[in-house]
Amino acid sequence: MEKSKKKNSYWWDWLILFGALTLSLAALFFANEARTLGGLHTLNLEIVGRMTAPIARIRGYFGLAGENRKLRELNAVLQLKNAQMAEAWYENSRLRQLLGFRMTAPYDLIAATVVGRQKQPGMEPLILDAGAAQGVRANMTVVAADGLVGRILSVSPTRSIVQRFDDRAFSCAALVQRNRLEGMFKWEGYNRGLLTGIFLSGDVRKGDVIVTSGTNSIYVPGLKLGVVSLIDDAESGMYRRIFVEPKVDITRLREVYIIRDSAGEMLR
Amino acid sequence: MNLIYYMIMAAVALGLQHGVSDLVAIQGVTPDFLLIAVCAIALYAGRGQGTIWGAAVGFIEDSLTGGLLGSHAFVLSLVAFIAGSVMSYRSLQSAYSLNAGLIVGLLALVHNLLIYLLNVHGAAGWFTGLLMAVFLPAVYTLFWALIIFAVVPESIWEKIYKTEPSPLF
Repeated sequence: MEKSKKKNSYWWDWLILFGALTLSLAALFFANEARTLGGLHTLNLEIVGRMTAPIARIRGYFGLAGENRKLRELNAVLQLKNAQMAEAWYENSRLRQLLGFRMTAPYDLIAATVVGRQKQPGMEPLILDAGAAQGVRANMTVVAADGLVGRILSVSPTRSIVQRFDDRAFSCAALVQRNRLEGMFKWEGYNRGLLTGIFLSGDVRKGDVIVTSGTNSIYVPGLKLGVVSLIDDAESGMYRRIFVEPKVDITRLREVYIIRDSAGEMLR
Repeated sequence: MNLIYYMIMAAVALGLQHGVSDLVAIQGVTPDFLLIAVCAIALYAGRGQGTIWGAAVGFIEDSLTGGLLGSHAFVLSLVAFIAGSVMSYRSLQSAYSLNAGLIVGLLALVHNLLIYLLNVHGAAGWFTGLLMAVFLPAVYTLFWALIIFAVVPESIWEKIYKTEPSPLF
């Protein structure tokens, strides 16, 4: 009797393994093509988002004094810059009116806190505490004070997932801020991006700021992607291999902003 | 009753993985708390139930990462089955926590390699990729598994090894 029970259990184990592997492979082959945020996905995101929210809140209290001091310093610097930029803005708007350009509306931002993050090769999405209820929708641009963070990948009622700029599948049209040379930015891996599509004759220097160009209509233009850290023309063929060091410290990111009326909206 | 314990273990592991793992990261390398939890369930409940929990936790993880749906489910159910099978060998039934930790470390290597191959991205070179995404995270997961298993009371280990696995259904 006992022996028969053990034998049954043995076969059950193998049957379960076979079932689990078949189900996983079926999901791998058939459920990834038209992947939408179904009920299960939404439920998972809501539950895990709620679980990690208190942890994120507790973490927020640590290092507040140091962060406060840094913010005060930054505030002083930014106030000076703001004064200069206000001057430039008035001049710019006057010139635009003279030229008959359409005035660009300021962005409407949704503030969100990072309540979870995942670390695995090539995919490191963030979970935010803002979702459809706050007006967040897929493809909206996510930014931080230092520049572009990524885009909204999927949304549940109160949570959303962000595809970061250091995701292996991330790419966007970018340009050199100094001379408007256009290229394509993608993540190279291990703390640097790669700007491609700029000919060997293109004038790019170490220290040049790279920003989004907005021509691929997902990301709004002018968002900082990083600074040129290295240019390797040795084995690059027709195009320069320009390495870009991002300025957004993604590992310490707590607060981000979602651009409500970002260019991604136009895609839908 | 055990079901509730396993649910709590899986929930705590998900919370740690998504809320805390970056706090203990060393040069971007993080431990895999989900793998430790799934292996612990497989060790305690046997390979059958462990496989079910591996698949369930894997599907949740897949839906949260935005990656290939099914990749974690496939790998975690396979790893849980191996963990449950390996621990039934009598030769491993001494120095409980150390053995369990080492098995988790080895399985972390298998897990990371499979996940890396399923989500391959070769821009940074295969050696750097294997080092940063497979080997170092496995070593770090082993380290955390040893710490976590060291605090499990001896009586629980004895229960794991000395009781016959109960039938699944």
